[in-house]
Amino acid sequence: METRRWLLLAAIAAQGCGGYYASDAVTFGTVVYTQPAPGADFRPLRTFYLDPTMDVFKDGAQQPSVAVPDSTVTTIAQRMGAYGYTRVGAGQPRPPDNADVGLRLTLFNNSVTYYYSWCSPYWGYYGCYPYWGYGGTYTTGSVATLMVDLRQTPPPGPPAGQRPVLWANALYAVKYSTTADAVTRLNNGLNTAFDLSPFLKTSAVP
Amino acid sequence: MNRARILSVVAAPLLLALPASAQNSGWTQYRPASSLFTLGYQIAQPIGSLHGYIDSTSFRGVMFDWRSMVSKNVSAGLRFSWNRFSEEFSSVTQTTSSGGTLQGPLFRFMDQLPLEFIAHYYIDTGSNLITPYVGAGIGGVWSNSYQQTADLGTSQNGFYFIVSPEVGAVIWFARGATSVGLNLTVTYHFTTISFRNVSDAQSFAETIGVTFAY
Repeated sequence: METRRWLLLAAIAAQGCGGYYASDAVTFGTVVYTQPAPGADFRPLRTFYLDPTMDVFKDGAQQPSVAVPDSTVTTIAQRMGAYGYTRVGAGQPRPPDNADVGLRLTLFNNSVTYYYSWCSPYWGYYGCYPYWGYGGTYTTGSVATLMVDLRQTPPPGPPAGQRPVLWANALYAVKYSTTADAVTRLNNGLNTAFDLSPFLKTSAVP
Repeated sequence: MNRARILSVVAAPLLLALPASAQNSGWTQYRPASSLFTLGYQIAQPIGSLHGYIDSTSFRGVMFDWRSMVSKNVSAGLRFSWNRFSEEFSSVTQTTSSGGTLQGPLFRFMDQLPLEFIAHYYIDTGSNLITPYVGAGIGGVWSNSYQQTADLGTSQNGFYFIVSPEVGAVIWFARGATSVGLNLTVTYHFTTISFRNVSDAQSFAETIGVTFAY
């Protein structure tokens, strides 16, 4: 009887004191963000190039690039194809002249949540995280993808020498690594990003 | 026989006597309760825009009030209470002001801590068992709201205005110099708490508590 009373009091206390912290499902979950550039028109686009390597940053410093997993390449190619894009320059280190847009993934292996904007060379010219993008805070294992416009070389600017970004997506805390589970999380996150981005559809698709 | 008759003559005045009255020394005088303290457990349901933000019932709440009788049927006092509304969503899609879309798991909570001046009117039903009342509180409320998705969290807090009419009743367990009763109350909270897409946060709260009156 005494034990039962203490259990009841403990249950009431637990109910009263809980609810301040998110569960692991939230804290260790992935957030998918996607946004088109203001005024971007995707309808005339027809071809895309996917960089076979992924940029890597750690706490703001660029690290050696790593290869994009084959299954991730397949996922992106399928989803871009469904929106009316044809892949060109597969596996090549630079985009061919007939690529309308280029896609490159960037991995953030930060030790803590890190706030910064980044720029890196995009095939002869810089591409930077756009000012219209949401936030600039990346947690461990986050992966961002930028789609840059390749139709004009040199890029028209402004700013001069910078490739216009047409689409940005970020998979916050997807915790990408080379393990099979991590690759699956990355692919699932990318699928969600494409699901949330019907604006990517070209006029080649009814 | 004579002995029995003598005993009955002696006992008769004792058996027929009225209970003795004590001298009026003050301690037996009737004194109506002048102060009431209530400690209660509170649950609350968000309504309006707060319901759109967190639609779960809050099972985390307490209330403490002190009331002083200013006339036979009217009391005035102070009340403190606390409610925490919280909810977790496995996946929520939100749009950003710049035209982006975010989707992910989400955890939210909102704490509400009012401190109010209160006044109550007690309805005389002629019953010693139950005392119904109506009342209202007015004062300030501190609010803290927190939202987290993945490991990114933001919070907002502030101090706002609150007004809270209520109806209730005390069901007395024991009455005397100190009385004890079960207090049941339904309160409507209107506040000016505003954050994110919540404006003028409102809720209904039900309190079950114990009232001491002396």
